[in-house]
Amino acid sequence: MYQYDEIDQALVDARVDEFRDQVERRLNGALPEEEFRPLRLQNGLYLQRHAYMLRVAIPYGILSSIQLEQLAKIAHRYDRGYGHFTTRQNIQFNWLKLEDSPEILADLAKVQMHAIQTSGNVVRNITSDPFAGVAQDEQVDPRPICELLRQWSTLHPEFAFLPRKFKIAINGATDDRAVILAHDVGLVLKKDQHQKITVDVYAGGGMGRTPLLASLVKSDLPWQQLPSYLNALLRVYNRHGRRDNLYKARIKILVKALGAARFAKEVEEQWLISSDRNADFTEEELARVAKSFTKPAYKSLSNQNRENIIRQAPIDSQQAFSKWLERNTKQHQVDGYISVIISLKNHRGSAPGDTTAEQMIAVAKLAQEFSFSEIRVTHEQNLVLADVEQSKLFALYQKLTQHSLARSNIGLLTDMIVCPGGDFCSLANAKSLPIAAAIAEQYEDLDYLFDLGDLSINISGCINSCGHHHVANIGILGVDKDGTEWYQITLGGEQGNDTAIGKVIGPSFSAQQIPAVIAQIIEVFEQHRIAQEAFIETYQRVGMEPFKQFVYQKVEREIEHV
Amino acid sequence: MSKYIDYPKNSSPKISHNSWVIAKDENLAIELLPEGHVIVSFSYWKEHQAALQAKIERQELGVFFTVNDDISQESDVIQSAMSSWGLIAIEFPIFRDGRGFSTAAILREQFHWEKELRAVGDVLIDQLVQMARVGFDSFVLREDQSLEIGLIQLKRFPVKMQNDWRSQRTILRGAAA
Repeated sequence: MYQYDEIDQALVDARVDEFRDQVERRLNGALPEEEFRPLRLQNGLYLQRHAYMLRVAIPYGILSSIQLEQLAKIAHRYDRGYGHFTTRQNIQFNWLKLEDSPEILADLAKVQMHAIQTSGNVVRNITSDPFAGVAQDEQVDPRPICELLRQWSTLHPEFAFLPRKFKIAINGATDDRAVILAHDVGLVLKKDQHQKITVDVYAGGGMGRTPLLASLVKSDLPWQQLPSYLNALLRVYNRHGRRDNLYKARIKILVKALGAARFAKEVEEQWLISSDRNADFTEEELARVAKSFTKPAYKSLSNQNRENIIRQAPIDSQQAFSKWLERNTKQHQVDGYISVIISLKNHRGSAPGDTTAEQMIAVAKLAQEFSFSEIRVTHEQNLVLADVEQSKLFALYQKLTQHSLARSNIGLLTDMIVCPGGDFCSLANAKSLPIAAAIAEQYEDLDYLFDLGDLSINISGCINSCGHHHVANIGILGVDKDGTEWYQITLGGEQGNDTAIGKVIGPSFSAQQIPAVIAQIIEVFEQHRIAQEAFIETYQRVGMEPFKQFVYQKVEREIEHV
Repeated sequence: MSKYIDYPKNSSPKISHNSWVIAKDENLAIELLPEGHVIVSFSYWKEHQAALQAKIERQELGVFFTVNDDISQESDVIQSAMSSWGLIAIEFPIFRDGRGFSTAAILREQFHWEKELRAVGDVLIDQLVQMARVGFDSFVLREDQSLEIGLIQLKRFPVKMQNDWRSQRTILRGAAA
């Protein structure tokens, strides 16, 4: 993975000093909260319901064992012994003191980490495919370009006070694993007929109050020209994005108002007249960065068939182990290797994405032992060990089991994306964690979950949509009605190559009703399902109507009984 | 006389005495403009160009843009007139409105404005680094801001990741050296 050079380190160290000074001025009253707010946000520090929350950047979701151990130490020393992995592949700590924040940033800087631009109206941490560099369907390894764009976006002077936050995702594989179309800018990397890397640029996607999918605004851009092109795109947004209404300030509203074609034309014109072409990446820069992303020292191994892998386990463990293999592993580019997904969806008293300091240390050690000391964070709030030898899978599985990290539910109903919701977040209208726990509780039977197959349920505690409910097969959104918490359900959302935004099924439900409503939706799915269809396939075939009819019929009956 | 931070390209920032006065009243009669160096709004300048000629000849006229001036739309007008202006200022109505950063970049990068470019309005010390990088070389801070701490802010970052008006990004600078 990328190693800082003295330039990166000098910048991060200077940023820590700058923030230390700003916190001092805040604490001695020289800096009022209103003006401190954007400064602390640009350093990832939020004021939440109970305490300060710090969101630490994990650029494009890649961590070293050393970094994860440091995060564990921070969780232990400054927080309540755990951290929360987020849908932007970052980690956040929920229980911090403002006074400690400069020290935490200094601790992070020691392991080449920071919290720069994890919040605020700036270019946020860039996200990408958690299987970058190892996925079988990869066309272009996105990591060097992710890193160059991380550098390009870091403390960019022109775009520190955008109309609103700005999220960029990058994917370089056949399958989209970065939800490209739900981002302010989505970049798809590919190779042209001469094997040169080019980029398709999508703009204007996003979730939130007005969910929209991004439109293609530029095809076949040579990758080197990303800085000048993105400078032009952001300049158009910075100048013309709305600033009069917080809810209409994202770029998607501008793209929609102008129309994608006219927006693309404005960017193109700005790009052509902008004189600073030497903003573009040089081969020298790529070479400097790419040397951090060479292949690790893979052994020369051959692929094992599934039966052989299962036989690594003693007979009485084979069934459970094979279930874990089925859901929690992914084929690798290199023979004899496989990628392992560690589920952080335990739901037994912990929120999706939550990891204790002890678990972080355990994963850091396992990464050292099994996967070249590297860990990936997924936007689904799980972890990945990308380079595991197939012959060591059972050994890894056993160790993960000891730390409650071997739950075999990746892609299944209980692998929910859930925001922290009303328990923590001051923006939330409703709680999301207890809803997730209540749903998970009625789907404890793993065989049943396996029967149901691929199915996503995502939960957001408010319309900001941090829980990505819009792109879930079953989306749950917390809404406020006269001071009480209600939940709106959407069906038919999807991520990946067929990314789609779910549609609202009807009037919202109370928290108590949600587990039953989910069960009813599943019941309709099972009634209409043909063979091994996934939920989304059945939904697309039969449409919303049967779900709607059944669910509301039941709800009415319940009300009659009362 | 008020003070401001003066930070020309290729030199160090320092605190200087400000000789320019902003005339914000759009309806002010031309006869009532202050003596000496005056900065008027772009719209005021458009309306009173002829009457401002004497000031222009004495090189005492500056023009300021607000966030509502679309300088790309007015590109031809600005580029043909700007050589007669002694200074351009960009007004920040509230610190978090970042449009002025792009206005400055366009003036420097596209219009090749080379004289003084001044940040005025809700200008805070914690924004000086970014402002100085996109093309501002003078800063009239909001009244409660400390000019001395402002100078420290400007010297904080020894490296940078993007080219800007002042110099190239650090890696290219290093390679050239």
